[in-house]
This record gives sequence, structure tokens and C-alpha cells, in this order.
Amino acid sequence: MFKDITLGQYYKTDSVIHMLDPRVKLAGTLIYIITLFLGKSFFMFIPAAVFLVSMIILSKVPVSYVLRGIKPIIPLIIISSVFNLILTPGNVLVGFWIINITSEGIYMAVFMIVRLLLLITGASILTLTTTPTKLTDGMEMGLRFLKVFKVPVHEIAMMMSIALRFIPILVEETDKIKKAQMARGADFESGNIFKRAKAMIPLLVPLFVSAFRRAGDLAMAMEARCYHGSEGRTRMKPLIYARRDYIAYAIVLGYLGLMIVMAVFGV
Amino acid sequence: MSIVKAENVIYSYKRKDDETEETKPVSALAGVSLDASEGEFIAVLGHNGSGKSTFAKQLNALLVPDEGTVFIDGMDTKEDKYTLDIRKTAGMVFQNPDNQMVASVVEEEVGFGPENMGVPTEEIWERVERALSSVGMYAYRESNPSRLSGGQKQRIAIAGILAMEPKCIVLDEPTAMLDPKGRIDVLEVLHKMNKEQGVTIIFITHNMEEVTGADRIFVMDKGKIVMNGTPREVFSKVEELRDLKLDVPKVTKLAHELKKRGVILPDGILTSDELAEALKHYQNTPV
Amino acid sequence: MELKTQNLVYEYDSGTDYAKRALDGVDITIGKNEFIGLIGHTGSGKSTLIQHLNGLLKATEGQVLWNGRDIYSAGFDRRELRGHVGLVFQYPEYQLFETTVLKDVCFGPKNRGLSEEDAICRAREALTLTGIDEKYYESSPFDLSGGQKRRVAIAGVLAMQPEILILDEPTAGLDPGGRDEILGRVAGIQRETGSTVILVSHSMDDIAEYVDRIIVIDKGCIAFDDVPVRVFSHVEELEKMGLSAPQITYVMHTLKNAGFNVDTDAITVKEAVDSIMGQIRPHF
Repeated sequence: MFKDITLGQYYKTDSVIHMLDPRVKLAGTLIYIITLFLGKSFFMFIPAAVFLVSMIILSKVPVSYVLRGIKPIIPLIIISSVFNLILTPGNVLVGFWIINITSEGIYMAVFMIVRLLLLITGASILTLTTTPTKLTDGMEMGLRFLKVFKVPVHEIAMMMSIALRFIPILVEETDKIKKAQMARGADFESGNIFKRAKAMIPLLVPLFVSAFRRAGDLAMAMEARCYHGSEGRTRMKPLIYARRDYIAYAIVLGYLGLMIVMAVFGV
Repeated sequence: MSIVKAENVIYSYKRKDDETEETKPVSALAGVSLDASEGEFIAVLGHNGSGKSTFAKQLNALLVPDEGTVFIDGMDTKEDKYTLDIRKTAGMVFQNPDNQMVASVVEEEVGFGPENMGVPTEEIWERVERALSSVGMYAYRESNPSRLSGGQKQRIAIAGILAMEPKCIVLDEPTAMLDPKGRIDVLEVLHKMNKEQGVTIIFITHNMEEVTGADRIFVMDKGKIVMNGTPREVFSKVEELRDLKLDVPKVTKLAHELKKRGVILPDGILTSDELAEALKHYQNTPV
Repeated sequence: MELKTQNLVYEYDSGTDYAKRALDGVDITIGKNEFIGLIGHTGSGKSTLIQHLNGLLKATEGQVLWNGRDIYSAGFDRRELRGHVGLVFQYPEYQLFETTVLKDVCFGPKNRGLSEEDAICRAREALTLTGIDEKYYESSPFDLSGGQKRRVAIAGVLAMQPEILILDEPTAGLDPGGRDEILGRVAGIQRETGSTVILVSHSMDDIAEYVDRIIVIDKGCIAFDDVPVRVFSHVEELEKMGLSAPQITYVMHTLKNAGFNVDTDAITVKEAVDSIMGQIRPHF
């Protein structure tokens, strides 16, 4: 089940996108997502799509791999388009009982599907080309200014990277406990929803107990290795901008400018 | 010079009773004294619940004594101002290799300690390279620790401590979760570090075969040191060890059984060669 | 009662480039009231094999036959099979979840469809067999010591009264006292209940001490399946597989090389003592 989730999975190539500073990629992704919400017409999606396709090509990640990231969100796309389809008021094309399908509804549904696809694909390019460690590093460094507002940026980034490290361990552990309870005759597969929910108790209790034990152990191990927050801490892999990062910023800003102009002139 | 000096350490855990809501102290250490000189390989043995893990945590200022004192390289663990220096001096490796790793890349894991200590970037890289090479894991520097075997993970954890350049390493049952190959690899690394770099080792275990190479052995029971001496001295007390839920290497046990049947043998035989040598005087006796 | 595997093959990531055979044609037959040791290097396929024996894993090729019936055939109740072939995983204490020891041990029997009373009755029996004192029955399993937790977890499988009990490294992480207690109890269970026990272990000494048949698995294939003396006579082959002989066997080889005419087939301390005593005369 976890095999299908591309979001959050790194794909190693030697592309220029991979080499970019994570802060550039984070800022670029954020700007890209904002531009998807700037306009209300399909024309706005043309430069966005061109931008996205260029990034995919530059990243050297196989297209089939990129598209796999869409699979888990298909239900979300379907639900949102159905809502758009039946809830948008306007020129009624087909009507039965209380459901009216309007031409505006069809337009909105297709519009939303395209927007969601562009959004998810864009976000997965970020995670496909950036290791989780670099991603959290980039967030920590990029959001450092928030410290002024007493946001514990370093601690949040540390929590994220630890979570990333422990996800595979906990997935494996879940599988182990599940099998151990099945060996005692537990049944996770049949029965109605209540019965199934109840069947989860023998799985969830040990999982939580183990997660807490691991958390306690890890906290102690970190303390033993002189961890005491961000104060006085140096970095093994500090983030330093290179020339390509400034060029990338320029390209992203150029793209943003184009989209703003298009939005202002109401294309 | 003594690097670790524990004097009559007393410590209790505070456990809350679910029904009465009262906190009761549960005694874990009842007066432990231990003195280790720089460069020694010390083994601390004891059954589960004997207090050996609690004692290990005292050496890293993760816990501080209720009574008595622990000095690490002359620094009192009770004084907060020394805490970081104590942890730099006496590094600690724990039992479960998975639960002590922070990073998803081996080299970053090893660099974590030096980062916390504020070591400059370039020097961190040098230290990480040295540490990984000395545990024989340099080839895996870019791997994800989750993909490695237990023995490899534990060697990474040791490298993570080595990179902090401590004078002493305390290992709390580092081999308990490993397979025989992993155990041998970890022990080899520890003996190598001890001999070549003069790092003091405090090795905590209940596996007797692993401690025959130690300089001195301390045996714990009920929060106290009940025996101490060289491996030969300690392993000559086969019956006492069994009563402490411990045992001795099979060859020592064999020699002990032979003695009980009237064979004349010295106490505390540790290897099969020693046994063969000791039995020599029977060789020409006709059966 | 008979459990049999025929040409058992299990492949990870079948059909992809990463496909790897964890089991490669395994044929074994397990009969009544045996005490079997299963040994193999980490990654040799022993964990994969035992998960086929109770139908937790589905073989890529080949069959597992329970009393002659293919456990993967349509209509075969694999959940029922797990009651007959009890599997205790490594570090089984991590599967405890109930509020009391007794309730936790009842989980298995209840899943087999037993009434509350019958389940409690079996749970008590199982807890007695694993040596858990009655005063702990109403305690939380999380408050027990490591060794006790493990014995409660084993009781949790035992309470289903399996004909075959498989234990995956039941002594991992325990001190020598805890180890002897568990292995002693397991040997008692095998004797008293007439069930078959399969012990997976890394310790050749424990294996030598207790079992009467050893199955050696290497790279997904059965390398040896014989009585201990004969398996441990292949010292060199075992070492090539990342395994070893019991410590005593090495001691006896050293003595033999030193000119003592001792029996190098000895695998336990007791056998070694007898053999050496036969060769020397004590000066009384």
C-alpha cells in the first residue's frame, strides 16, 4: 500500500534540479502553487504547464514515475469534481430530482481537475528531486526569519527529519505486529466496519507502546550526544547558494512576473 | 589516572502507583563503586534488572546519583556546568541500534554529535571520515541506516560516538540484539579502538563469551558490585555466577565439571588450549 | 499429524528487476512430538520459511500440506491452521496489548471461537506451563519484567494448544538465567503436551543442548536435515554458511589435536565430560 505513494519519495538522478539549493526549490514550488490560483481561465494554465514540463524534463525523472504520484489522490479529484459538477449554479443542461448539471459546473469541474493535477505533479517534483534531509534543512534555513516571532524553526525541522527517519521503521513494525496477532488467530480482513475497527486494537496498542518507547530511547540517545537545541550548533552540510541558484531564482521570478501580468490583464 | 570514578553511588527510580497515586522510590543502585583508569577495557556483567543499565546512565550524566558521586575525568556529574563536557568525554552507545539514530544518511548520523558540539564544518567531515573508517563502514557513508544489518547499524552508532572524540565509551548491552556475526564485528571494533587509540571502554553485557578479553570484570547484582577481578578470577566462580543468573564460557564449565569428577585442573580456564595444556599431565597415564 | 512442504519457493518483488528468491525449493516433513532446531545465517530464509508453515506468507511456487491438504487451496481455513501451528515471533512481548495478563493470553483461544470460560481455562494452563505465577494474572502485562513478558507472550500462542509450536529466537536479549528458564520450559512443554517444537536459534550451544533434529537452511535451500551429531560433524560446511559448531565441539577438536583420544562428536558439556573421563584416570 505504501509502495504507491510517490509523494515524499526521492528519485536519484544527476540533474541540475537535484543540485539546486533546497531553498530555491521550496520557494519555486511555493510560487508555482500560488500562480495556479491567480487566474480563472484555462489560458493561465498554459505557462504553468510549460514551466512544469520543463522542470520534469530537466529533472531527468521518468515521466511514468512522476505520474505515479497522482494515483493516491484520484479519489480526491473525483470527489471534488463531482461536487463542482452538481453544486455550481447556472445554465442547466441536465436536471433530475434535486441534481442539476450546468455548463458552468462542467467548466468548473474540468478546471479544478487540471489545477489539482498541476499542483500535485509540481509538489511531487520537489520531493522527487530533494532528499528529505535537504528538504528539512532548506525549511529550517529558509524559515529562519520566523524565529523573530518565537517560532521554534529548528525544533520543527528536527522533528520532521526524525519523523522521516522513523516512518519506515514504524511501517515495518506495524507489519510485524499484524502478523504476530494473525498468528494468534486475529482477523483483520472480514466483518463490518465496527468489527474491523475493534480488530485494530491489538495492532494499535502495541504500536503506540513501541512508538513511545522508541521516542524515549531516542531522546536519551540524542541527549547523550550533546544535543541541546540549535544554540551553538554547527552544520556538517551548510546550505550555500551557488551561481545556478541565483539563475534559478531569476527564472522563477520571471515566470511569476508573466503570470501576474496575465492575471492583471485578465487573460 | 582514573577516567571514571564512581563512589558509593545510590540511586532510586520514582515510580507512581496507579491506585494510591503515591510515588514510591524503587532502588536501582545500592552503593556502587568502580574505578577505571585511562585505556582500560572494563566489562560490567549482570542479569537483567541487576542495575547495570542504570549505572551506565550515571556515567553520561543522563542520571545523577541520589547519594555518592560520579567523577568523569575529574568532573562531578552532579554539577550542571560540566554536563556537556562529561558527555563529550564519556560517549554512550545503547542497546537498540534503530532507536539511537537521528539521520537518514549514515554520514549525517555520524556527524550529529560533532554538529551539536559546534565543531567547524570542515573538521566535522574529517572526523566523520576517520570515525567511519575505523569501524570499517566508510563504504556505506551515503547509505540509509535502515537498510543495514544490526551489526552494521551498531558500528555506525559507535562511529557516531567516536566522531565526538571521547576518552571513554560506555556501551549499554550493544550486542544484545545482534546475530553472532554482528557481535563479533562490534567486539573487534571495540578492542581495536581500545588498543590503537587508547579509548577506555566500559562494556555492559550479560553475554559471558564477550568479556574474556576484558582487562577487568565487575559483576553486579541487586544494585551492587558483588564480584570484580580479571576474567580468570571471576570465571573461576562458576557456581556463584550461576546463582547470579549468569554463566561461564562452555570450556570453563567443562573444566569445572571435570574438576568435580576429580580431575586436577587450575581454576578459571578460559580457552580450549589452556584446557589441553592443563590436561597434559594425564596424557601418559595408562587408562 | 503431519506438516509438509513440497518444492516451496518464495520470491520477493516477484516479476520486477529486484526479484530475489528467499526460499528456493524447500522440502521438509514435520511429524509428531519432535524437537527440531532450525538454524541458518541472518538472511538465509529461515524467518520466511516459518511464516509459510502457518500460512502467513503465500508461496510463489510449491505447496504446504497440512495432513495432506494444500493450505493455499480454495476453502482451506488458514486462520484455523494458525491454531494448529502456533508461531511465536522474535521479541514476542511487543505484541502484548490487553489490560491484564490473563486477558492477553485469552486472545488466541477466543479467536479460535472458544467460550470465555474455556479460554480462561486454557490461558491458565498455558501460563502454568510457561511458569507465570498466579499472582500476576490480573497485573498489567506492561508491568512485568522482560523475561516474564516474554513468557506471557509465549503462553498467548500456547493457549491455542497448537500441535506444532514454532519459536523464533525465543531467548534473544535475555540473560543466561532467563534463557535457561525459557528453554527449560519449552523442553517441558514438548515432553508433557506431546506437541512438536521448532526452535529457531543463533546459538549452536542451545540447539545442541535441547533438540533431536536439526534443519540447516542456507540461501533458501535445505543444507542439512539430520540428527545433531551428524549435522555438527560438518564443521567446515557450517562455517562456510556463516554458522558454527557448538563451542564444546571445538574444545574436543583441540584436545584431539593435542593427542587425547577423545570423541569429537561430543556437542554438550555432559557428553564431553564422559568422553574425557573415559580417556584419563584421575589421581585419587
